[in-house]
Amino acid sequence: MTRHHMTILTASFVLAGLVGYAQAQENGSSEEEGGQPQGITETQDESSEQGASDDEAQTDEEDVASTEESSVTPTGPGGRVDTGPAGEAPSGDDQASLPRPGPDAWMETPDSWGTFNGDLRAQKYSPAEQITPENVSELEQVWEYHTGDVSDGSDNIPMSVWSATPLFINDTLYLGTPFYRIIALEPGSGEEKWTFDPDARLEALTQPNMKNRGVAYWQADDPQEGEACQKMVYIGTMDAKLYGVDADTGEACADFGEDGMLDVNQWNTVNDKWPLSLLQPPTVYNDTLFLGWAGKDWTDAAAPPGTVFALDARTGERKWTFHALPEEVIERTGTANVWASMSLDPETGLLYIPISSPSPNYYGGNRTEEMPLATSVTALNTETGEVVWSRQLVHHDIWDYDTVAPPTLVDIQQDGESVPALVQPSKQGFLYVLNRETGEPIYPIEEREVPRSDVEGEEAAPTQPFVDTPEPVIPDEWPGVSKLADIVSFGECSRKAEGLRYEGLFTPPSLEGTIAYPPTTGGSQWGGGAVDPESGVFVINSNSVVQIYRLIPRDEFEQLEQSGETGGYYAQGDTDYGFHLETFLNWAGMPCWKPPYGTIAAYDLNTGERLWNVPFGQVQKHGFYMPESWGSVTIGSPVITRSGLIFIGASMDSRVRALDMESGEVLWKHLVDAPAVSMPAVYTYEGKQYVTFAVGGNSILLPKVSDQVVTFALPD
Amino acid sequence: MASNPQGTPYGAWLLLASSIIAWILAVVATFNEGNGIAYTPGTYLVLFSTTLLVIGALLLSFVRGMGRGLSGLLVFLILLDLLGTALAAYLLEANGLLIMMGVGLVAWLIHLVADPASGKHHRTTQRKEAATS
Repeated sequence: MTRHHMTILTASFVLAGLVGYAQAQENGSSEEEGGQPQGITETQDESSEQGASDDEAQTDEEDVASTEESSVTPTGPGGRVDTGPAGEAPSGDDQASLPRPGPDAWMETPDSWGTFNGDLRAQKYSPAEQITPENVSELEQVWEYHTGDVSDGSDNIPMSVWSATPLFINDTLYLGTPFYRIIALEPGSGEEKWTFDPDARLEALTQPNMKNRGVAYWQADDPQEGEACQKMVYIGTMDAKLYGVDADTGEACADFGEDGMLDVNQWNTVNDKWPLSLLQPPTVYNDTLFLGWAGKDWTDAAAPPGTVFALDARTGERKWTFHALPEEVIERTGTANVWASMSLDPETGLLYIPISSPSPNYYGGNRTEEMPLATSVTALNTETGEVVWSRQLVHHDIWDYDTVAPPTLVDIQQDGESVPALVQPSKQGFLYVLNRETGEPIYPIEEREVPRSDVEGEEAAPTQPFVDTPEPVIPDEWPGVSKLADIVSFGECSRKAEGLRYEGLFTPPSLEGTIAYPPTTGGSQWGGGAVDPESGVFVINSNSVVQIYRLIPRDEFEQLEQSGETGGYYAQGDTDYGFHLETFLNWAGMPCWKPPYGTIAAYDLNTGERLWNVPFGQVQKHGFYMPESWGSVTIGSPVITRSGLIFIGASMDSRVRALDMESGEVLWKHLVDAPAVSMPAVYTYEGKQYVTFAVGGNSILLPKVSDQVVTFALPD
Repeated sequence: MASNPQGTPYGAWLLLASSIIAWILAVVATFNEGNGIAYTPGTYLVLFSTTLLVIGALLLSFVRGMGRGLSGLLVFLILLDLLGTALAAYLLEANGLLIMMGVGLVAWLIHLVADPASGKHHRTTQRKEAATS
């Protein structure tokens, strides 16, 4: 036995729960499931036209609490648009109109990092070139700042999970915290400019942890000097409040909502069992905020049905509300919401939304109707909320395969022509490359037969869409039993695997237990990928995790422990089955499947070829670092610079790294206080390039939290 | 075991020195926040193991009355401690500690081949004392 083997063997003993934390997860942050039909869906088809007047009446009932005038228009297959007082009703024509308002000039500056994804196209790309593969090893910490908004869960405040992208715009660095404060910092020094504290409720109303993914910024096209709230910063809270403050002073904007606060829960009128948690900052475009929400889809069957709101950026007045679920199903299901970030083509004015699965997550016997917009990527007209096209990525989702990441928009070169494309990552591991104007696949999507459910009452879809090109981010088949874990457990892993159902991807949950690969953790997660728009190279991190899905008949189900997003027992409302979710570990807590547990890969979108795929990060358990060849489960996202670098935190080992775009080789790494599960901001301020990470941790990876903001640059 | 029954136990002293340095490094690793491993079970483990190592090295350096079996057992346990701590240090990426374990292993080897054997030396001395009384 070599020293390396000995190291691995010993490391394995201590590895224990490590991936355990990582895996089960995400059902929380994800929230819901999907419908069945498939394929591209043209907007305003006959079915959507049908019953328009009925829909109007019914949807008005939904908005019972609202005193606003509204009109409802069916859109897309099963979707509806409810036009608010500040909005403009869809034309109702058979063909959805395409807005063409053009980009906001203030957002298109190359030095800034003005949105959650760096820009509206979710490219996560900076044209900055000062820091290069040749000099990145000289990168040093310039400053660090601690927000003070952190909780390890040991007191009255739930554990904090902080995934905020810092925004750099208006010569200021803006951060939202998991306690829902806004902090404005001087970018070069980290000195505090101002803070805003809404005194938000710090309770786990929908999520098990206090979560926040940052703030959004808007400014008027022609800001008037000396006039307040010409530039605004927004933050949402878990209890559905959206705050708007002046970007220069931090003072609440009186014209926004009521004295700076908009209660979004006023529109939560159907199955309103919990508030519409505003953890993801809105997407800002053309003086409008596009706002989704998060909830939970594992406790109830009927839950708030998925909606996206378009709000006037100055006043918060509602322009329109998009409803993702058909009216006739919402008594028995819900969610199919948009809890992750969106992307937007500023040239065409199309908004791309990743829609999650309907509730409950893992049993669909109560919702067998077609819900074509669930677990889909859907393009909306930003002016009217109409569906322009939609593509369902999982039919009748019973795996919690929410569409979780924003599609990345990029023009790719094919046959000498530039094609407007988008890349939609997914939990199931596929990268769907579509024409973003039509939704048609650029690389083939094939409907293939998949295993049937053997659970009474369940009607799993007979086929599901598969993608071969680009190569999926994880293998087609589950990795198989790890010999090491099997030896350590005296054969427990292999014995357990033999008793589980597994017939490939999309094997339905079962009573005996189903190997889910990938499970609810993905594959890819909410961070999505990054792209170099010049070369068409797309980079994405991913997870290789195995979980066991087990349905439990209602009369046998007991609500035992539930560790939030990491596994346990989920009631699934009053459906015929409860659910048990567990990560496939042995008695020692070692993963029963073969590593690597996390990788990062690069793809040439022009050809669909995968350029490289390497283990990324290191697992850390009890302080011990596991071998690099095992990789790490990751949460977060890479960003790319024109100089050929990838910056990413994301891994369990509390390190941030710079990688070579050409090879994936780690060129620089730096220890931070916890896993940096946010995406970094790369920007240029006063002629100098900076990289800033918000370091917050995530209980899915490790019970390690922080409130650190840390910025790096080259020495002067 | 040792080939120098009358000499200075350089190996044991070197082991003691490296153990003390290792213990200090383990303390720093355990309580120095921001190193990525502080306050983890892994650092508590090396703190405990280096404490044992220091005790073992002290016994090896200064106790002359141990029987052959006990002395051999002590030397064996020290070897296990060195190897185990080295592995833990490797996995903790505590390079200073790992280097000290390397030095400790060299010291252990020196002790094995060159240091006076404490148990044997003690009995030889006793016999000589008995013969001259």
